[in-house]
Amino acid sequence: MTLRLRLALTLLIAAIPLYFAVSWFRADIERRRVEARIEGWVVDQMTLWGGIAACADGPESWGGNLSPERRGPRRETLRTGRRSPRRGAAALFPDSELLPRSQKRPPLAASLIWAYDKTFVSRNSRAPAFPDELRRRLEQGIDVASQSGEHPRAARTTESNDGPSKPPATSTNEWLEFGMRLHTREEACAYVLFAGAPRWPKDQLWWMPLVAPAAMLVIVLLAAGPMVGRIRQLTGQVGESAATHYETQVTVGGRDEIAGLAHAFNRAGTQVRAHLEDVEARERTLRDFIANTTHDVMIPLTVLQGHLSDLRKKAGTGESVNVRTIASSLNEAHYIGSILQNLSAAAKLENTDLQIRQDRVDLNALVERSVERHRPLASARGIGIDYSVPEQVVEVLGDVTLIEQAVSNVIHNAVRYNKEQGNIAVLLEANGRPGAAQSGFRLKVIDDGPGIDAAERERLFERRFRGSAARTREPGGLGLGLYIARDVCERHNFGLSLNESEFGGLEVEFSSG
Amino acid sequence: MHYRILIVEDDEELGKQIVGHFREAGFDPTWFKNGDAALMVRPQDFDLIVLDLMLPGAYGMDVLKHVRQEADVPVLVLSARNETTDKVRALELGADDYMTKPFWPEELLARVQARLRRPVLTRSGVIEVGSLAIDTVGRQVSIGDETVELTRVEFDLLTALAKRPGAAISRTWLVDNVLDPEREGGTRTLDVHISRLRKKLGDVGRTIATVWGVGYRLEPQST
Repeated sequence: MTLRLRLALTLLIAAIPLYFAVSWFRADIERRRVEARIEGWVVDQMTLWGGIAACADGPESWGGNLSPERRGPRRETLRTGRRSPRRGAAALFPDSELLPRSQKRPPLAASLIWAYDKTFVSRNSRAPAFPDELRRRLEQGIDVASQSGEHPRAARTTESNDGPSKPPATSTNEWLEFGMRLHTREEACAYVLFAGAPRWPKDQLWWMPLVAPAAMLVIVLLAAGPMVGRIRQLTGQVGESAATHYETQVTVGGRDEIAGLAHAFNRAGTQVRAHLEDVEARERTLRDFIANTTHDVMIPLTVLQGHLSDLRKKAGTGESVNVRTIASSLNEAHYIGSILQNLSAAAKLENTDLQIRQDRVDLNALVERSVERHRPLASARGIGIDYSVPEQVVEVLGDVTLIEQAVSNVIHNAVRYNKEQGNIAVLLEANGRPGAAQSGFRLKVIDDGPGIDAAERERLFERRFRGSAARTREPGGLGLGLYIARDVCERHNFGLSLNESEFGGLEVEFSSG
Repeated sequence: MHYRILIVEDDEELGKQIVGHFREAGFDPTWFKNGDAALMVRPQDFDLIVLDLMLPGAYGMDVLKHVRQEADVPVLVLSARNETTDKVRALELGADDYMTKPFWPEELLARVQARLRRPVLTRSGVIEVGSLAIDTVGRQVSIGDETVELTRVEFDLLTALAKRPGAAISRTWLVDNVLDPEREGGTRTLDVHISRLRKKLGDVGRTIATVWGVGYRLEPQST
């Protein structure tokens, strides 16, 4: 449903009861007006034209049917006495010259009139009984009382006397009866009862109550025009903007609510665009990352496949198998595993909004796990690896997976780049004296491998794992693993330092507090 | 020592491998391939449970809950998901240790053995490691029936090592906590004391191992 249609319908629904209310009100006023006019007319006739006098003259014969439309024989029924029969008749048949112009047309279409004495008994034997309701009300002291009555035409069957009391035919069945007190001393003419079919003026202004709603409708529709136009314009522009991935802005101006909507849309569009760009950037990074990592995994995998096929060949021909080949295969397999482990850590760290978990991490167990994890690899290469942890558990708050990954990476590097028959020691110490509240830790990974010279050590931390230079597998290219270790430390507020160990190799220290 | 070990692992190859390694190491392994079966067992019938977290049927965490409701048997959790939430939850539910895949069979074995290792027998201030007995109240050391005369520092060093047999104790810790900082200090002095201690202990002295880059360790001996 369009906006205009909705407005029009709402107005219409509101206007219908309004129309009927106003119409009823108007009709009611009109009715009172007509009734008052009929009363006035009758009183005028009675007084002006000697109706009362005629009644006083011959109450036995006064009264009868009046029919302004049918002037003719029936007029004689009002012959009312000897004095002025014509005058009496004329009294109740308004003469056009004597009435105001507006009253030329008598308000009662067909009518009858009867006179009654103080006890509501008519001297005229043809007169009907005075209606009880009117009598009651007149006795209460009112001068004029009216009621709707039954049209005598409908009750004709009950009336055997087909005399002059038979009222004239009218076009409607509406019938009004009036009882009126005559302020006269004539005993026989204390009250009159007159009745007739009222002639309502034709309501030529029936459309009046419709004017206001119709005008309102027109005004509303006209006023809605520009608004609807603006909304259409906004809709069009929003569609265009969405089609260009919110590159173009909506330009509906002004200071109204529609302009507000346009501004809100622009703000939302900007956010959507920023989000889209962010997602695209991440996607690019992820694609590069996957491509690079696939490359990284492919190299050790190729070496591993080569070793395995070599082993199979030798086993097939019964040749002795070189232990070094097996050790190297294990090494490669382990390396692939560590790359994959780092991948998940890197993916987690790539999320800049990452909230580091704050679980209590048992560093003693973590060191034990990390060392034990590398022991088989180290043994295969004849490298000794050992650790020491305090008797009391050292705890820190953080993400156990990330911290373990960081420590593992450093140990992995120590194993991987150490010489054969080398040594690695991992030392965990709590800060402060035993028994005192713990306020941090120091975790050292020491080896007696080739180490890294000072200049190179500095540069290690500048590298980002996205750079291909940082991803080489050769000593010094500690890249991804070390980068992740550093990132994890930063996020946990741990210190991470690389130094030359007292055994000539590398000493990596994690610290806190 | 035929430790009964329950293995709940859905992967055919990996399960077979683990069972094989445990057999070789002299354990008595029982292998279930899904969690629902694991929910049926009495955990107290086993000395240790190795539980894979990603199982068909009942999820590993449910098995863990079931085990913890029934018994205090050590549970080592295996998981291919290197997710902190899983680990923290597993530990909260009462897992004693966890390992992420891939792992080396030796690694698993070492961890299981570490869990099964009997605690040091201490009765009323007496530490016993193999044939070595240290009376910490009377400050007496004996090997078998023979009493060994030690200096104060030597006795304290031996006690420090014997309290945690199998664990390497760092030189720094020994220097800071055992040696008298007023009179003697430094790792050199420590090494001298250790070498004297070894001599005095004879054969048992050889069980005091030098740990590269760390310090010393008293190797636990099977009786």
